[in-house]
Amino acid sequence: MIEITLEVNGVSKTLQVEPRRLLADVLREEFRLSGVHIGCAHGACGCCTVHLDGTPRLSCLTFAAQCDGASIRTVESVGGPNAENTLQQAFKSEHGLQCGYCTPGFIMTLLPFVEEMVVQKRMPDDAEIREAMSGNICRCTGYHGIVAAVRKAVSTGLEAGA
Amino acid sequence: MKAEQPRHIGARIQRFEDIRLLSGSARYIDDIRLPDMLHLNFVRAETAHANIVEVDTSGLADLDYPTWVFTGKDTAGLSMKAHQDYPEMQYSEQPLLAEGKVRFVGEPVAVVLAEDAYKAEDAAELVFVDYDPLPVVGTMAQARDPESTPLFEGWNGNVIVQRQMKGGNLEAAKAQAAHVIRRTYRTQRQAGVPMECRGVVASFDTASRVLTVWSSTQMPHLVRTYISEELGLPESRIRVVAPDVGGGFGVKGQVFADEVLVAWLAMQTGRPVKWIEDRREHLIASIHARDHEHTLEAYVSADGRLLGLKADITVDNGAYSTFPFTSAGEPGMVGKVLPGPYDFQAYEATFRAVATNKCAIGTYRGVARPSAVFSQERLVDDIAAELGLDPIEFRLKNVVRQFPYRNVLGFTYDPGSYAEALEKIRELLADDIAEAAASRNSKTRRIGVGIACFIEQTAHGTPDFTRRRVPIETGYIAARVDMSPDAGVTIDLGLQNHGQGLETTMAQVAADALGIEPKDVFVRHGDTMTTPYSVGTWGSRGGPLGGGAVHVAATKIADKLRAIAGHLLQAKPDQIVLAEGKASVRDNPGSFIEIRRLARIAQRNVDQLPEGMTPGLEAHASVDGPADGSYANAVHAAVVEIDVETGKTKLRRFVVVEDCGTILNPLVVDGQVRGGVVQGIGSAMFEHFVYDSECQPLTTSFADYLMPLAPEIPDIEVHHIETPTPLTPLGAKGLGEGGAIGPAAAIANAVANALEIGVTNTPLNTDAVWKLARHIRGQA
Amino acid sequence: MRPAAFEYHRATSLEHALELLGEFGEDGRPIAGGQSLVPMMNFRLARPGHLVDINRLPLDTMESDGQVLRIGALTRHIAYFAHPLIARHFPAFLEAVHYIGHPTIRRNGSIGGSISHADPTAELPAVCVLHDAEIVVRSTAGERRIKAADFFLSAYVTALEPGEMVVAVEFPVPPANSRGSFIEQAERSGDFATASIGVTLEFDAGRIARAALVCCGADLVPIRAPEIEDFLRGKPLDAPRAAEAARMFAASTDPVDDHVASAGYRRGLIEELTRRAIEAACNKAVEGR
Repeated sequence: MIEITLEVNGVSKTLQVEPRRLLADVLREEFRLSGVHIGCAHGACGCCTVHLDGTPRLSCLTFAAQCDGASIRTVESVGGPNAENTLQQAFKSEHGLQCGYCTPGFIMTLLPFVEEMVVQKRMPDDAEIREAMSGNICRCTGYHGIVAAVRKAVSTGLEAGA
Repeated sequence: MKAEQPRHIGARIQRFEDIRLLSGSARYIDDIRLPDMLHLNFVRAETAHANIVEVDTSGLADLDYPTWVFTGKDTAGLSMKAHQDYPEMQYSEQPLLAEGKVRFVGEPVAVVLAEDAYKAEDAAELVFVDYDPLPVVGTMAQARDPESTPLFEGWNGNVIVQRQMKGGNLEAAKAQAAHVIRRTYRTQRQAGVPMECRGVVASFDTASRVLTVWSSTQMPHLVRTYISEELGLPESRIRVVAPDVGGGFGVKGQVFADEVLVAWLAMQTGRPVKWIEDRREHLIASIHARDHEHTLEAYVSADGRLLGLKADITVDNGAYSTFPFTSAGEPGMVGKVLPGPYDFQAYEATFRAVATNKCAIGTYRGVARPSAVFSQERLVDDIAAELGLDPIEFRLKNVVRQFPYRNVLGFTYDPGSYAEALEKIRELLADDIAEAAASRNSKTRRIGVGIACFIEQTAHGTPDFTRRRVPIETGYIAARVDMSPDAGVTIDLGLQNHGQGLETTMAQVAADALGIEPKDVFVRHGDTMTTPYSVGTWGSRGGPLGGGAVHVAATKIADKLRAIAGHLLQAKPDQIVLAEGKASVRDNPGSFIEIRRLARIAQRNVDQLPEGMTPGLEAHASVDGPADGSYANAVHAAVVEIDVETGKTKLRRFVVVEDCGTILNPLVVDGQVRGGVVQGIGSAMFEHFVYDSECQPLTTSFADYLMPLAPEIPDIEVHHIETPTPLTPLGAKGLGEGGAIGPAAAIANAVANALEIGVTNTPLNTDAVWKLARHIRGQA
Repeated sequence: MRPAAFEYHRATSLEHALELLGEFGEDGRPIAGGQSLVPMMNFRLARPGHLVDINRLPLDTMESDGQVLRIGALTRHIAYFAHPLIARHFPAFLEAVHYIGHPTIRRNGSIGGSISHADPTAELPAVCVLHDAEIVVRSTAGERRIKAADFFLSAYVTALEPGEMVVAVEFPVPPANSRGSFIEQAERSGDFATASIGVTLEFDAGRIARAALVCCGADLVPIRAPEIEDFLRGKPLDAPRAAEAARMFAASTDPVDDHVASAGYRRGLIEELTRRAIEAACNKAVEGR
């Protein structure tokens, strides 16, 4: 067991973990963050994506032990219990989700992409949006609604910044 | 009585369930945690066919933490029995844990439980199984060889069942035919792969004698019934809960051995037991789908009329029979649906299921029909090519146009829009068809357009299952609707929602019947303790039957509200209109009473009720499927661009024209269609579950089992035609599966069109397309 | 699908990492991005007793003296997109990086991890072989420099000895009259390649002065094509006889036949991608791109 301190969604906690525990499991079990979903446990579906020091990271390919001192963000912190973030709202209005299992991973993967587009003040084309989500598998929506949601979130961001 | 003016049915309402799914507060099976819970890890067969010599669990004794281990000797006699009532069928029971023999790689041989999931996995590695290998039955041909080693004692060969269905005079059709076209088509083995794996948690409360089972299932009531019968517990003491379910697609629409086993283990150990399937287990040992071979022979007149069809159908079922649709379900379905949307009156199908040392075939979105429609629609294009006819013209000439239509097997088709959908697709694809023709001059880049025209029997009812003699037995969906004194409505629904938007669409239906807003309707589902007995969500029945049941039950409450309002407003009940929260007298809008007030009167101020009326606003209704179901129809079109020299096939466009009758919510309908289409694209181009010659699975991770990713997929264009059916309460037909049924046929037809060659097999991956384009590259 | 137990060590310096790896030998593995190693551990196909976390070591630098570009082992794939030297001198490298996995993998995966994992169709091993890179490896015994062609021994097998780790990869900077191209085909975007071809060529007075060609998908390691490289020398840029070279090369390969692709298809694909890659590099030279 080793001692680590994680800052998760703004709250720091020090805990003892076995080195082999995946970050995904520690976030789920020790922090009770059920929005972290495990879809494949081999880095091929994107369901478990969280932000590690601001960057999307597959929490099933990360040992919690590696994250001592790191800041971690999960979907729970993005728009609160009412999912008020622009991208979350766009997923809702554009039907970018059905069963919801892959959804937190998509949100965490695409948030920085949407933010980057707004910073760059441009609307990405569909191919670029699809490439940005190419590490995430959705089995329900056929991606159509997710692409539309990204477009809508970027456009909302551009309007707000204009 | 129908709602006056539907205000909510048909509206593009955003889904109520989204907030919990988007915010991370949904609760899936892996989020169920109980005190003192044990975690289960399976020891699974590593060889496909073998006698078990010994299961050595002695290594567990050295561990410094407690473990529990069980083998087939402990569960002896407990099994999955999925018997179809065909006298000639060879039955295959699946023991909960293998007894004496294993029959596919991944079959559970033992379980190890520990207080921590990681430790349970460590401990399971210490169980050693000694196998004495048997000859493997790995292909349809091997299984049909009478000399092959039978998978089960007492079996005669490995053909599980072979039967025929026929109608009309096939010999006469053949004699009359100017053209006889015979082809063999093959669709590959696949896996369904919801993003959430399966999982089961069970807990037995010794005080109340209640067994609670949480399972990621589409059919909680059937799980309850099966557990009750197999473990000998009263159904009243079993509660099955499907929490949020992360996709099902039919995969979770069967009762699995592990659901019974985990329940049994919770009782044996006296501790809650949790099993969460991992992705490798899911791929090798949940269920598989498709794996068909069809040989079709069509008889066609000189002027291009389809006169008759003869079919020989084989499905490689794998080792076991799944409950409740059995190992005969898949090939039987092909025989039943091959006549499709075409008008001909001579038909004969021979269908068989064969057993191999592979994971069992079960239901997956479309169930047999993606394969049947692939063969049917490839055949139609092959006939058109042979006769030199335009494929759309040929279809227009042969599709059913008069409804109701009684088909060659005696099934009655309710009204649809087969010809109209074909006309519409021709108009939408005109430019692509021209571009495809122009690309014929190229030896490097070809464009092709392909269509698939199909019907789908949806909302199967009890008579359909009685005819098929399958253990599902019935197909009704029930709903209980309850209006509280504050006029809020609760629906306890026999369907289970795993992405279909039922918490929204069912609220729309109730709101229209009751004159309230959908947001004031709370839909509960997936819990046998609160919901009325029903078969669950599968077989495209949610909208037509679930929606129907909600409508009927809500209408009973509405009738009572109208009676109370009529009493208070001194009008006849049938003059009362429920809308926008008010009960008003027709043609006299100034005379009204708030529905909220009526709800309170019905349950609190009951002294104001009409004389003799009992208090309460609660109603139950169940709606069964029509005798022959209700037939939805669609035309799918694919436009492909093929790099002749690399085989790389780009899907440029995919267009759907579909007719599912009354649309409850276009947002949801479009989403169901698009999601289904992309699964169908996976079937057509990417997904293939591969075994080697020893029946070792080769595609056991997402690095090998390839599902469509976003960059490979175009936007899916969806157009609707709405032909309401008279056979369901709201005019809705089923639509959950349709999207997945057409793409393999449409894409194969597009490839065939681009390359001017017959296509007989899926998947059309780069290797396959490159080989099909050989003649264009000028290679032998 | 969770890893077997191991001990975790966070290296505080390169020397510390090497001491730890020296101590654990076969039973120790460095971990960087974990994008290749951790899936293997989750499947329990890899079960190192000790993981030495090198993520906090200063090994993520890219520096050049004009002759050699030295890429630190912890350099993440995403870094190449924005690096001027890569854009100017290593077009085949840059094109190859676009084919690596997907955005999250590119942000977290490292060059040291990718080449140590040695997947037979991964992009960076191919790029190393194409550019005659030298793999700089260290252990407590000191430094070894291994030519890329000698580093990859078989699928998932490298010349690394127990206790050694990759610290950097050194790429000779190609001369100004050099162009390159990398083309890959996979079933889906981001998948490991069915086949890929990388080409660099130096040109002089409208002709190819020197060519290098690497191929994945023909063998268990990325292979060079010396006969084709010889054949191309002296050929005109505007008509490089790429098709002939491609035919010759494909005919000399003996790719595997498996459930992913047949040997015949792989060979056909190698031929076509070779032709396209040579033509693309020549076109860049002709067009002065």
